[in-house]
Amino acid sequence: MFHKISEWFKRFRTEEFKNSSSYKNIKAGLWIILTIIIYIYLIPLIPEYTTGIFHSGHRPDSLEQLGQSTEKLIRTTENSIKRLEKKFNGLSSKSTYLVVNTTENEFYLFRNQKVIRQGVCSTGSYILLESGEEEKWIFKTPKGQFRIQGKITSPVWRKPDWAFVEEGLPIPPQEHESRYEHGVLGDYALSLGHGYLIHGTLYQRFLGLPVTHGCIRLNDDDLETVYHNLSIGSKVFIY
Amino acid sequence: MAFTLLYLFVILAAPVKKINQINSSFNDTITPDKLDKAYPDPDNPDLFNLYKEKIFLESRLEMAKTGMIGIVVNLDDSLLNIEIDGINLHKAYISRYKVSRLFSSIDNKAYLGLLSHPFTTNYNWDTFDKEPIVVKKAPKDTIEAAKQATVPDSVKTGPAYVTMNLDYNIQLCLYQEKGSVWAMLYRFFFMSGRRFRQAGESIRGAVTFKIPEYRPVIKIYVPKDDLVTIYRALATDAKVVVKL
Repeated sequence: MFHKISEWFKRFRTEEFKNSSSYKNIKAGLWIILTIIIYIYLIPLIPEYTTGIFHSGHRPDSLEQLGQSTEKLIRTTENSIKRLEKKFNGLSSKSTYLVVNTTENEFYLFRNQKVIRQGVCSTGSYILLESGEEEKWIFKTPKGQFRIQGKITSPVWRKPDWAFVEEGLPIPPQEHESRYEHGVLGDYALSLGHGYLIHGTLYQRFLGLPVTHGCIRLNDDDLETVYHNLSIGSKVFIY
Repeated sequence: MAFTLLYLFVILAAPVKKINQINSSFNDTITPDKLDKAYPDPDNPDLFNLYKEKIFLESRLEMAKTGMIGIVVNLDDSLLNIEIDGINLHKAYISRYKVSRLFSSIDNKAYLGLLSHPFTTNYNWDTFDKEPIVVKKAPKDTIEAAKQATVPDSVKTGPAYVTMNLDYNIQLCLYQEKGSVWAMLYRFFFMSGRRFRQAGESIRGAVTFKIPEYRPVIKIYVPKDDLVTIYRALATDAKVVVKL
């Protein structure tokens, strides 16, 4: 092995190789790489270490003698910080609210700013269903701040058009009986508006995975807790 | 050689120009009057630290008013949060960070003015989908529908690196903290993209005798899962509050 390597090096040092086109190509290639390293990686690093050298006088590091007016200013600023903190903490809801993480498919139920229940859920699958050129549906859970608009017990699912398209079935008329399915949404449902619901599921094994058409699915026990703790108008934060 | 010197000059001059630009935008316009009133004597160290706290709270309150999910970068406490309406939704611990020296080189007044309002994100570069959309054609019949049915996979991603371009061309880089050799190599290529763009601008500047735009960087390392969750929660024009 060592012998072979030294043979290679000997070949590189011969005049014959130095005059060959391969040698010139290798040399040019190395120059290009070196130029890129210098121009792209090394020179642009210099300002990261030199910036501000000539901009002294900023961020005073030695304490100055406090005058009376400065002391007053400090007190005033401290008071205004306290006021701002109070105002900011006042934004945090003391009532019960739900937080849903759609990336990890987890939920957190808060009361008085403390988690009273947490667990897995299922949210939108991000599937874009295309039917021909015109019709498209995207199955994603909307993000942001919502409020509970309605609460339903023993909900019945009224299947929208996409549910039939997805199953390869013909779309029935609007009020056709095949549109109504009982028992698939669990015992309770909470409406977030625009057709989005928090409901139960028959597919418990998929909880924790993004499989829904935009609704939020919970297991039976979690759904019951959420249903009994949230009232109409309660906030739901989805991110 | 002459070109290299010129290139070096524009690269060194760019941050100086940016510092002067930021300083003057908070010193020469109408805003200074308001700044002087809101933050008198900012060169006093005690007052400056209190002002930092004050502008941080003011920025978060301003962000809360938008009703959108925003991001809070708190380097003092090594925390990266997303908030909506003042409510913390998700918290990640920053394992390490690096900030351009520009932030410690601008005037105190300019510093307070710069961070006293939330920044707005105007462009993002990322290594994973913000919305992992899967396109599915509608099946022709029930047999085709049955064939299409698959066991769902969780939405996991490859290496996670994000650069968000904010106002004043400040770049907020969110990088996953640990990873395989492949993830590190990926980061090298991702960062190289930014370096090539910046070098291209500098070369153009050297050729045209024009000082290029300098983009100060706030580079943050957080756990990958938190990074993906936080980035996916944000709108493309999300607000960003920074405490350095």
